[in-house]
Amino acid sequence: MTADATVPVIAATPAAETGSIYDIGYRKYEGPRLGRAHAIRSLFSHSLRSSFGIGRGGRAKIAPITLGVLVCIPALAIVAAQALIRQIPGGQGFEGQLPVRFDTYASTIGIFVVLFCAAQAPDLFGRDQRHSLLSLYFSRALRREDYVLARMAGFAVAIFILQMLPQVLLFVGQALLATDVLQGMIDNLHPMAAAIAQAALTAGLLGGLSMAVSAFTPRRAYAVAGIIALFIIPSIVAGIVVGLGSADVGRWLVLLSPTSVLDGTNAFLFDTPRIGQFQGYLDAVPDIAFLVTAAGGIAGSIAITIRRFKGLTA
Amino acid sequence: MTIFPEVARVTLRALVGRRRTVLMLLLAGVPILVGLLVRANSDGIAEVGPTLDGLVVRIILPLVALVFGTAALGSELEDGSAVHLLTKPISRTTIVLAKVAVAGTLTAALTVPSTIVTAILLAEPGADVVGITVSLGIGVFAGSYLYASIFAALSILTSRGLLLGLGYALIWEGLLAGLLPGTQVFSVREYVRGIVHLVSPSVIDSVVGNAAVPYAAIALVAALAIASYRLATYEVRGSD
Repeated sequence: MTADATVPVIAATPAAETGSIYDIGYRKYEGPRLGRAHAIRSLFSHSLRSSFGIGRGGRAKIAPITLGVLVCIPALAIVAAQALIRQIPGGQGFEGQLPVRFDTYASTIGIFVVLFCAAQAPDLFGRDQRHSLLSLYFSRALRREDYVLARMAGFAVAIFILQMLPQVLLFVGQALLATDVLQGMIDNLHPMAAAIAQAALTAGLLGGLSMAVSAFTPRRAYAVAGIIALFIIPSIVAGIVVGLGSADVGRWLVLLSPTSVLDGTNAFLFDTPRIGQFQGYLDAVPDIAFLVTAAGGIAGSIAITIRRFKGLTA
Repeated sequence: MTIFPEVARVTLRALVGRRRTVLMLLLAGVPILVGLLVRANSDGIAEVGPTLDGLVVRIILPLVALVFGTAALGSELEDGSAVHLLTKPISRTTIVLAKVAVAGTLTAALTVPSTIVTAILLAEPGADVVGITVSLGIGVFAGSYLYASIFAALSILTSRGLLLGLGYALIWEGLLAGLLPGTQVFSVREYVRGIVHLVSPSVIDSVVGNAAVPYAAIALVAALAIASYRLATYEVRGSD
């Protein structure tokens, strides 16, 4: 910085009485420019943090913290139950029958994950549109697809964390319940790997779809209702139609329901029978169909969201 | 009381005629779609009551009531335009009653016909169609006002009424009803089932039974009283 940049021009022309031009010292930014990659990383971590209310006001933290506690309760309860059952003579036999395991955890906390999507996704895209902040983003090094991908990735990672947090608790609990801690960990490694894959699929599909809905409906109330309707209603409709044992075409309806698709991938990843509304009816739908639908849903929601933001006037 | 229809008219104008109504119409159309799908594949089913309970009473009714109930007053409180209403010499109770009346009527206007049409579509030949449709219609009608009043009260109590209402509908009435059966005594869904059971016992079974009517009445009055009281002591503040 040169010191004379702030010296008024008038000093050079003291004779002028009116209409002089001052150099009031506007500076050019000459520091390092962090570029596109840094902008993406910043937006990603901002999305991840604000999904949990970090860096936002106290009222924005209530919903994520409540849901975070709720998803952990089954894990803590089941570890406590296992510890208590061992006190009962002959209680060991019941341990295998406890309803909360790695392969059932995703469906146990499913409703909380859906609520988390409904609570947090509308804020990430909706606030930027409501307060017309998009022009500020897009006037930076950030491209439109970068903005979408960074926001969606941040939210997906938030959902992933929400699901894995209780399962890590469960994993630690199982290891500590075993007399041989190391063996206890090794025994649970395989279900844990499946749990990670399932959590990643859930994060991608539910996160992607809920972000796609909220990209199209800046108004919070509509986005919340839309996300809930998208996640809850198709599974009930498919359940009723399939449950009636109607024609073969009816079975493929389940592929329209995101939560049912995730039930299917869960059964495939853990190699367990399909649970819930899948019992028996759906053996005609091959595992691969669930995986392909999940992948298609993730890719489709990203594509449609990018399309939406390409067309928006910022 | 001449102000009541005026507040109701303004609320109705605010709630109808935008994207919200289209969205809600789509929601109300879902049961009819299911009915058509079932009809296309079979002659109808025996368990009309439980099926409609799972679809309409559990999901569609609360969701529609939630959107109208929280929007009736909550959206005005949120964007600050409620000041125009609150600074006028209108009894806060009148405001709450008018808002709930409109939200409940809109909810009923969408869900009751949808329920009746779906019940007719689902009912198998020889079933007591009149008993089924009348009982379910009355139940859903009562449920519309009950849900609307509770969700309107929630939207006055907190700024996150929509989310809280969803949590109530999905966690309390959905998840906990199975795990802790005692919660069903405090659930609108059970009251609706109880009223349906009262009108036509064979349509659906109910945990609370005939007690549903007094419970529902108490819940309705309590929600209206809490909403009026909270609105009466409402402080107009800047948004955060």
